[in-house]
Amino acid sequence: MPQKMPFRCSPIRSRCALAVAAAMVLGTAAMAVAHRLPGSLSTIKSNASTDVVEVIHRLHNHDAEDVLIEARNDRTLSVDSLEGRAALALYIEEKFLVADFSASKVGAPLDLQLVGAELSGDYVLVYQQLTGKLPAAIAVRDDIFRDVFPAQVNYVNISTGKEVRTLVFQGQDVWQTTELE
Amino acid sequence: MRFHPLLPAVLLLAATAVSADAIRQTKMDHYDAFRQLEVDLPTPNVYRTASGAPGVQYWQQQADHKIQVTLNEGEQSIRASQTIEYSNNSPDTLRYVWIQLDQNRFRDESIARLTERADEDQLSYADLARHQRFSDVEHGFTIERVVDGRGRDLRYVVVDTMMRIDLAQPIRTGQKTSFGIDWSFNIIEEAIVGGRGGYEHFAESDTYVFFLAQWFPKLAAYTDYGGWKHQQFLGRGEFTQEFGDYEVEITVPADHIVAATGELQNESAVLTAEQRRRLNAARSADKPMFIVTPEEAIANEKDGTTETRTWVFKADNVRDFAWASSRKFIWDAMIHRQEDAEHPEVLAMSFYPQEAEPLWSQYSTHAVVHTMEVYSRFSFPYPYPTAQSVNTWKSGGMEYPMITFNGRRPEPFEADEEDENAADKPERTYSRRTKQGLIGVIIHEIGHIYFPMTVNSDERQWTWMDEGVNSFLQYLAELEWEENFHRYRDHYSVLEQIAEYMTSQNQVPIMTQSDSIMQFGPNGYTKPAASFVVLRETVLGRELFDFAFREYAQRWKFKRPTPADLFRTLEDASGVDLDWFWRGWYYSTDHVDVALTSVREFRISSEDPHIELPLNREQRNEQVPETLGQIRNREEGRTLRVDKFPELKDFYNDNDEFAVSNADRNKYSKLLDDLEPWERAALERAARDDDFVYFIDFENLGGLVTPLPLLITDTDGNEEFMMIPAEIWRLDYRNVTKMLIRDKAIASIELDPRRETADADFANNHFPSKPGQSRLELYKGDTDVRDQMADMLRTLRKRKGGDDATENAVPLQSDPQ
Repeated sequence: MPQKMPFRCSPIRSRCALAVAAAMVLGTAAMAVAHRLPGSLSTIKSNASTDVVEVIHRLHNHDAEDVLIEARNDRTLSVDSLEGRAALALYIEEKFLVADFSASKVGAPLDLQLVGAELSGDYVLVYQQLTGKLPAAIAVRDDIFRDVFPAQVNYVNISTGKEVRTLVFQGQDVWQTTELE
Repeated sequence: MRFHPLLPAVLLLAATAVSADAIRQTKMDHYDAFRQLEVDLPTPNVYRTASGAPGVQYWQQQADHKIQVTLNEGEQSIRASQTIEYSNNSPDTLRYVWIQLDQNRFRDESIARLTERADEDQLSYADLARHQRFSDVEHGFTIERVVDGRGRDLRYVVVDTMMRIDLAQPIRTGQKTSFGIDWSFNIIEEAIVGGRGGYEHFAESDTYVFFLAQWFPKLAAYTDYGGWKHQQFLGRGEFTQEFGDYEVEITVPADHIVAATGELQNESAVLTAEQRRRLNAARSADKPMFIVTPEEAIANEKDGTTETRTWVFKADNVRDFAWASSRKFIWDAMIHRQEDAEHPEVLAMSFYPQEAEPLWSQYSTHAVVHTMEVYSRFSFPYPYPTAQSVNTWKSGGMEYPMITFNGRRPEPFEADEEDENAADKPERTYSRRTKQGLIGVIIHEIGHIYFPMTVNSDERQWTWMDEGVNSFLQYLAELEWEENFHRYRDHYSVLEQIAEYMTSQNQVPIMTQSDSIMQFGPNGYTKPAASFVVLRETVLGRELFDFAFREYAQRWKFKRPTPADLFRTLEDASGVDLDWFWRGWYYSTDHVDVALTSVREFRISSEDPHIELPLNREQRNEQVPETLGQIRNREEGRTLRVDKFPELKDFYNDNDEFAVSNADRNKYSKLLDDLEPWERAALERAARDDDFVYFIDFENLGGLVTPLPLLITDTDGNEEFMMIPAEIWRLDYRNVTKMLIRDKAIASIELDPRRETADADFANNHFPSKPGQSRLELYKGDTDVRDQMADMLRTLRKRKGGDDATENAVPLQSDPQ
């Protein structure tokens, strides 16, 4: 039974969302290297030669670390370690969803498989894949780091083969959709 | 209007921009990527020349500040009395002045606070703690008194983070005025509230590090290009500043060590004899020396005192002043020597709590000196007597004249439980990334003392002018620290990083006002830094670029450049038209992606039928095999009708279509007769050389025009590198064909083999086309890495089943109403 907080949700809401973990180091994290704002870039691209849809998330190491530390309550956890990268990959798996939108409503999330994660300079890359092709229209939900950094802005670049479509997630954004054909 | 099938969003931008131009393409969809920028840049005038230099009547204001400030450690507050002497060097008469009150950003009713946005129906612990702090402690300036030079009250109006003071007498050009302000405020706890200064509280030892930035009422800038620069401080867009001389008396608990902008004036009053002796020794030391040792700092933490001491600092010609104070500080210093009459020696210093050890004593001051060595080579000798790095937080960094606040600390060392020697292991350890992160952040922040603390660009308006330029120089300094500095290894250079971002639809051009920038990091830091890398290594070359960049830095040292001054100076000093480069990288959202779409091979014909027709026959026979039925008929010994009835044979049976006829001979002879002698010589030479002629097609998919670096490999395996300048796109920015004449046949061509253009897609850069592996495929190809990760994911998934993942959530419950 969750402990009751000393304030109440607005009665016009039917229910309150469950609150999420947060970084007390917010201010510091938000200005890593002279005030860089937190943001992520994910790309969704079909690889014609392997018939696999590749999803790559590019996250700044420091943002990732602050989120990890809070989510796992372990100050020693770092993306330098295999465990840290795996924990981050599992976090991303929860926070990034792609669903079928070809019937103009958000269907069940597609079964993105988690492939792994690796460091690349200042960034950590998290890989997911989907065997086969994307539906004609998709809905995307990208909550990466937004539970911790209110100013987080996430970009999702979806390559249709002919062009790149960009979805931006910030503030109140939940599901966003795009047609691929 | 410009045609751009890739990025519909860009169409809108381009359409708006183009319709505002005096020059418009109103027929067809031609886009002139090389159109001169002069109609878009501000008109040159007596303040700023067309060559990008300060003009004959260039002016800037001067604001000298004297401040007496007292720190109340117990209440975490400061109180001060200050006077400002303001010199009006502008051609205008001023009836009022504007003062920056940056601390007012934290007031309850500030624009910054009121416009903070909620994120879904979620409340984090951080938000909650911040809210509680704001309701417990009042933040922002309390202005107690504003008086003129004679002590008479002046009328003033506070407008959010700005204050207008109405002067008793207007100040005319060349005149000075002075006024005094008494004020106080409660210092923010940086980790809770978030800001660029404040204090850090170490709960275990109940000790503090104070670091004061944006802490005093400061003259707003008055400029020739924008009048008073009084855009409100919302927290992101930084500062537009005036230069001035500062004298600051800082009263703190007697056991504190103070680091500040400028030089300490009263060593004998605040330092012990031993500290003074060590400081003097450090002034000729080539390696860092302790002035306060780690052991002394730890001992000092334990005591407290009610006594105070006043540290006096002076700083000349600085655009800001910051300071830090703590009884926790370890202090080390060394000397940096340079070729400069004004500052032949610079004292490099670091201040840090014991929590930063052993990392900081090893690297901080060395990184400060390394920055000066590299940056001075690219710009001018370090222009001040001191350069300091202070550890004030876990990560991040901020810059002020002569002093920087930097993050990165080591982590507790976790010994193996079965390790018998665990007791001998260090208390703390750090990763390679933490070490390089610290070196990187110190280079970045000390680098800011050059840009924008000395080359005083307008940070609130043009983030890239200091962050982009500085990130570029930081990159150069990191490359000179050690090889394979983490950020740029694995073929994942700054250019490849930015290429991903530059393909996004929802970008804004670099030339966008700071508070309106989306994706602040890539736009304000990485993209301009990448552009300078391309400019230096590929477009101009090091010699031209380095000369032009140094010219820019020296022209605008202690002055206030605008973007046009930088664009114009780099062209003026390099002698290269770069308008296409600025237009593409700074004024558009295009990206680099050139495809090598087709290569066609030819030989030059001699036109001599006796040579060409047999060659044609040979070629035909190679290309078109004999009909199978004809071969098998011959093998079967089938008799042909023309053999059975030889009278059926005629001229055509004896001569195929490649036989030389009289008509061919006459045609050749007429051709030779009609040729000029030089044309005939060229034809004969070509027949002897027997060269290969290639037509190579390139398609510009990304829109941004770029030089074309090519690696050409012939059939013998010889490689040749060739750089085709960007001007090849000048008549058609989308499609271009290059002709090459070679004495050997080409086996392959690779576009951008050294990865120097920020090309976003290398899959279309090869002839013959080469199936490249994606980053994900490369990762999957490393089976060891992949298997280890798969095992770890399984372990964590299992563990997660019993884990309380919501441990850190602030529990909310809906109201039963």
